[in-house]
Order: sequence, then structure tokens, then C-alpha cells
Amino acid sequence: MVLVKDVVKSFGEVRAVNGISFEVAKGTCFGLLGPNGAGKSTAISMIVGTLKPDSGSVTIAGHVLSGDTDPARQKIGYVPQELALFEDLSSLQNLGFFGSLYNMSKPEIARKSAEVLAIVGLSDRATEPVKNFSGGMKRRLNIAIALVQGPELLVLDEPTVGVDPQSRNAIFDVLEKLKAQGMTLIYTSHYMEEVERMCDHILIVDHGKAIISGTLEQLLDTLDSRFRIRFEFLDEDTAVKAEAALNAKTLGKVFRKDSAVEVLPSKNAQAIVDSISYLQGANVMFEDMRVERGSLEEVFLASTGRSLRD
Amino acid sequence: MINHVWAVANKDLRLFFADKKAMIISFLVPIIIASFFSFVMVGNGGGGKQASKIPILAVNEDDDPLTATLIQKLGKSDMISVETVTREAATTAVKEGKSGVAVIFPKGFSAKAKSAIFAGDPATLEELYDPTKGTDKQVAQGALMQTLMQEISKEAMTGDSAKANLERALSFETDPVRKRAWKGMMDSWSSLDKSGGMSGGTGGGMRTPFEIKGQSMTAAKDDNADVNAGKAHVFGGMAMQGLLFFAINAAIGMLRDRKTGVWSRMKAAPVSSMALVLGNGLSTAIIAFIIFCGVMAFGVLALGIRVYGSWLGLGLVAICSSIMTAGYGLLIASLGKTEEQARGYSMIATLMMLMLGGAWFPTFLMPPFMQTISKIMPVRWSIDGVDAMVFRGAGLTSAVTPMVVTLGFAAGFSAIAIARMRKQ
Ligand SMILES: Nc1ncnc2c1ncn2[C@@H]1O[C@H](COP(=O)(O)OP(=O)(O)OP(=O)(O)O)[C@@H](O)[C@H]1O
Ligand SMILES: [Mg+2]
Repeated sequence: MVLVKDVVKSFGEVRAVNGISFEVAKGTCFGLLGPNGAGKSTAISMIVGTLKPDSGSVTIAGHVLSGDTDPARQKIGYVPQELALFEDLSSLQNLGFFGSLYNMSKPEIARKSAEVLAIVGLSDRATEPVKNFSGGMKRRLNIAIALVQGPELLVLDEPTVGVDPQSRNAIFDVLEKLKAQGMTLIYTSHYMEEVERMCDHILIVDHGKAIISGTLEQLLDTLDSRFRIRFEFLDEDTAVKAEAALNAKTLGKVFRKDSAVEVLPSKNAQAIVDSISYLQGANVMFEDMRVERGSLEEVFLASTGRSLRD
Repeated sequence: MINHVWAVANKDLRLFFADKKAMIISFLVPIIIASFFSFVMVGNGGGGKQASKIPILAVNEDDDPLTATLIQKLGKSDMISVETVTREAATTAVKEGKSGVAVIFPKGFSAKAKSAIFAGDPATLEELYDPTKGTDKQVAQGALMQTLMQEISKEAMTGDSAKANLERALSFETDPVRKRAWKGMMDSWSSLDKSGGMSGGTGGGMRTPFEIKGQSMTAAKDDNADVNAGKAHVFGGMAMQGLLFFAINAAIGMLRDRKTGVWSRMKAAPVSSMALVLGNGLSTAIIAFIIFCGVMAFGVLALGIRVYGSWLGLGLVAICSSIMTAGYGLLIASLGKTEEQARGYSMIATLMMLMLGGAWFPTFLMPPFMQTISKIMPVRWSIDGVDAMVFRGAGLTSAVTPMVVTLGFAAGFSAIAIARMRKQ
């Protein structure tokens, strides 16, 4: 359905996207995961055709978008990261406006508007000005607008930013329903849980580059162990000492952030016991210790040395 | 394409009318300011101090050489400069507001005036004036009085004609006491002649040898014509101010759409940038036209402004000015990088345009170089067009120049805007 080949995009000196390639199969969900400024939105803009790549190509259903009015744009639904709504207009008026940009007739717009409002659960607020909506409702309308012309591909750029957990769940329900109906999804987020839950295939990007990609299982398999150990210390000095003590032995990868140190063990069996005894041996006291299940967070940490949410 | 343009324009119109407060302000600000000035300023024609010689037109229909001399002397006055034209040209020029005052010396003027200085009916000097240029009229009359009294009395009392004039005057004189006095004067004539020091005034036995029959050159013949003209001028100016201020708002709306990603969201649809831009332009023009009509309608309905000229012409001037407003809005949007920057710069540019274009302070009260500058301000042409249609009583043809010029500005602004947007 979507083929992205070696796309590059610079803004002045900044290489926002620096050679990313991936393919999205029809009816699947593809997740683009990366920290702030990784280049996710820039990549998305090139897929939906609002930015032209400096080099490389984007093919949608075997077709490279040519120009502003390419009819193939009808097939793409785009949910931008920032709300693109007219606050003084009602949901129906917003849908009507975007519908007419997609060359829909009045009756078509009326029919599809009712349908998509029902999907996102806003049918009862159809004629109210959008400025009265909560943040979560606006997000849902932002998605409804992307659906109005009946796209085959839905591209969502962080559709859950600033949304309460309840609305977030409502959004996931909508997306899962759409996926079940055969919609192809491209989803960006810097929340790994969202991507873990939604996506069949995941690409982790950082600094405009692809770091690693695969299914969730494949990515977790790249970890030496499926858990990590997190120690909290009284202060940073203690943490620095602990980091040195742990690094002196071959436990696995050790990262420090402020007064916390995390260990991604290379072999499971003894790691927890070993690390505690190494700390004791070095006479370093820890305040707290937790063992966490391995996730995309660890994958990102392991491959970049940084935490996703820095 | 057309559908997209209309979709965008329609959306903008809905947005404009949805924000009731902002919408009402768009109408109220020009109306309040214009009403204020209508009450404060009207009647004294602006009353500004004259910065330059006032140009007046003179029409000589008299074959007496004295009349030619009078006109020539008038031109030497400190206060006015004179251009001689035909009656038709003078009438048109004053009617269209190109000149503030024209004086017409009718046939037999000088002969009658020379004798009337002593006795008999005064000669009549016709004066055509533009009621918005009260100061022009006053200054011109002062200059006329001074120069004509001086020259006519000098001529009347000089050389060969003096005696004849006096004798002719004496024949009208019935009062025996005055008759004797004149006779005495006739004997000591030549000394007076040499001194040339007779200034205007009605001392001695002399009287003002002419009277000025003024005619306000609006279509209105009623007493309120001058007041109407002042109000109409002020409302025209403030309507233009309302339009340009709205253009700034429209431009800022466009910039905000760019910044917030609304623009790029719209661009994801199969729609050309040109359609989006034209849609914005169309809505700006439509709203500008509505504001214009609202402001002028208030002037007409609440303040009794009368439209003496062509309603169609007024409507067309309004439409062209609204299109110019749309072009101006696009220009601001294309030049501004951020909202704040666009607001700052465009506010300065707009205020300059309004000031130099005569929206606040009539252009004819400005020094000549500023009057020249005003011609490069689209506002100037819009206001001229409104003036012509509303109180000068001009016909549709007089609307053509303002229409063409404002449309020219609209085209220029849009061309620059589109070129700039293409580059970005
Ligand atoms: N229009 C632009 N002009 C200049 N620089 C830009 C522009 N858009 C993005 N960038 C830069 O490109 C880089 C990638 O930005 P992008 O918005 O694609 O990141 P992102 O992964 O979507 O981040 P976030 O999670 O914060 O949305 C950043 O360094 C950003 O500053
Ligand atoms: Mg982003």
C-alpha cells in the first residue's frame, strides 16, 4: 500500500529526515516511534504529500503523488499532529468544508459526515461550535475529518497528544475498529505503549534516521533479556559510583539518568542477584530497586543509549 | 477549482459571521469614528491652515482688457494661483473635486464693476466651489476682494476712463450732497492715480463694485449640501479604514492557518494552493464589501447622507475597493513571517496609507508634494470615487478612473503576493 524509499528532507541546516525507507502492507498498522524532533512529522508530511522529499520517493498504491490536485490524495486520510479545526464552526461545518476540498457532493458529505461522527462518537454534538469541545473531543473530530472522504489509508500523527486516558481509549477503539474493517494505518507516537498496542510493524527513528524496525516480537528479541533492573539512589554522586561499580563487571548495558541507574542485562539468570551484590561490594546503598518487563522503551534505550521520553 | 475557491470563501464567511464580537467591531469602529468626525468637523470644511497657494480656476468671458488684467493680478497674489480655463472645464473640475474654486468673470463684468464702484448695481462674479473645501473658498474670496477692489478702483479712477466712469456714475447719483462730493473728487484725480495706494475697502464714497454669487458644486441645491459633503467624505474615509483594517485581520487569519498546520492539512486534500489563496481573497473581498455597505448605509440611514450621483457607480467603486482590500490582505499574508510581525508592519503601512490617502485628513489640505504622494495610495482613489458618487453628484463615467486604478492596485498587490507565496 505504501512504499517509502530513502526519503531525505532538510530544513536549512537541519536534516529532519535523513534517508528512511519502509513498506506498509494493506490492512496493517505501521508504527513510527521516536522521541521529540526525531523527524516523525516530517516523514508523515512527505507521505501525505504536503512536503516534497529532497530525494527519495513515496509511493501510495503504486502511484507517486504528482502535484497538488492528484486524485490519489482522495485515498489518504491525514490526522495532523496539531488540531486542524475551525473552532467557530460546528463539527458538521468542519466536515462539510473538508469534504468539499475532496470534491464531495452535498448529499455525499451529509451521509459521510453522519457516518464518521458516529464512528468517533460525536453524533450528539454535530451542530455545536467546536470551541465548546473538550480536548479529547477535538482530537476525535480531527480523526473524523480525516475519514470523511472515505480513505483507504489513514495517517495519524500523534493523535493522542494531550488527551485524557478515557478519550485515548475511545480513540484506540475507533482505530481498532477501522483496522478490522481493512483500513491501512500509519501511526506515529512517542508513547511506546500506544505503538505496542496498535501496530503490527514498528520503525524506531531518531535524528531523522531509522534505528531499527520489525514486529514488536522481533524488536523485543533484539534485547539480550526481556527485563531491566532499575536502581534509585539518594543522589547523583551515589548513582555515579553505582554506575562505575556495575560497569566494572560484565552484566550488560548500564545507563544512568540523574540519580537512577538502569541495567539491561545480557544474560538473565544471575543478573538481579549479581547486580545487588556488586553494589554491596562497592559499598553503594540504593533506595529502591525495580525490575521492569522489557518493552520498546528498552529497545530504544539499547539502540540509542537514550530514553524515549528525554 | 471554482468549487474549492468557493468552499474556502464560504468557510471564511461562516467564520466571520460566527465570531459575532469581532464582526460587530469591524462595522462599529469605522461607524463610530466617522460619526464622531461628522459631528465635530463638518461645516468648517476641515479648517486646516493652508500650507500652500490655493489653486483656483478663472473663466474669462469678458472682452474688456481690464478683466484679463484682473485675472493676471489675481495670479500674483500670495494666497492663490490662477489657471484660466473655459466654463465647462471649470464646472467639471470643481464638480469632480479637482479644483476647490472657480471664478467666472461674465461678459461686461469689468465695465459694470468700474462704474459700480461709485454707484449703481454691482457687477456679478460667479463662483463655483467644492463644499468640502471650505478653506479654499474663503481664501479665494479674500484674494478676490483684495485684488479686485484694488485693480478696479485704480482703473476706474485712472486715465481717460476715469472721467467717463465718474460721469457715468454721477448720472446714477440722485443725492445732491453726494453728487457734489464726487465732483470735487474728479478734480484731484491724477494725484491719487500716481500713488496707486488705494487699497480695497469701502471707505470714502466707494462701494464694493461686484458681488460674488457662489454656487456649491454638488448636485444638491439645498442648504445642507455642504454638511452632506463633509459627512460623506468622512464616511468614505472611514469605510476605507474599516476595509484595510479588515484586510489585516484576514491576513493574520491566513498566517495563523499556516502556523497552526491548518494550511498543510488543507493541502493534503487534492486542492491547489491557488484555489486556497483565491478562496481567502474572495471571502476578504466579500466581507470588505459588506463592511463598506454597512458603514455607508449607517451614514445614509442614520446621518442622512444623500447620494446625489450614481448609485451604480458607488456600488462599483465599493466592489473595486473591496477587491483591492483582498489584494492588500494577500500581500500582507505573503510578506509577513509571523502574526506579530505582520500585524506590526501592516499596521504601520495601513496607517500611512490611510493618512496619505486622505481618509483622515482631506488630501486637498495637504502640501502639494503630499498630494502627489497620495496618488500612489489606493485609498485616495477609492475615496475620490466615493466623493464623486455621493456628494459631487457625478455620473457613472466619473467612477471609471477610481475603479480602474483600485483594480490596478488589486492586481499589483495580488501579483506580488502570489509571486512571494510561490517562492516560499
Ligand atoms: N518547517 C520546519 N522548518 C524548520 N525546521 C523544521 C520544520 N519542521 C521540522 N523541523 C525540524 O525538523 C526536525 C524534525 O521535526 P519533526 O516535527 O519531524 O519531529 P517529530 O518527530 O514529529 O517531533 P514531535 O514528536 O515533537 O512531533 C526538528 O529538529 C525540527 O526542528
Ligand atoms: Mg511531530
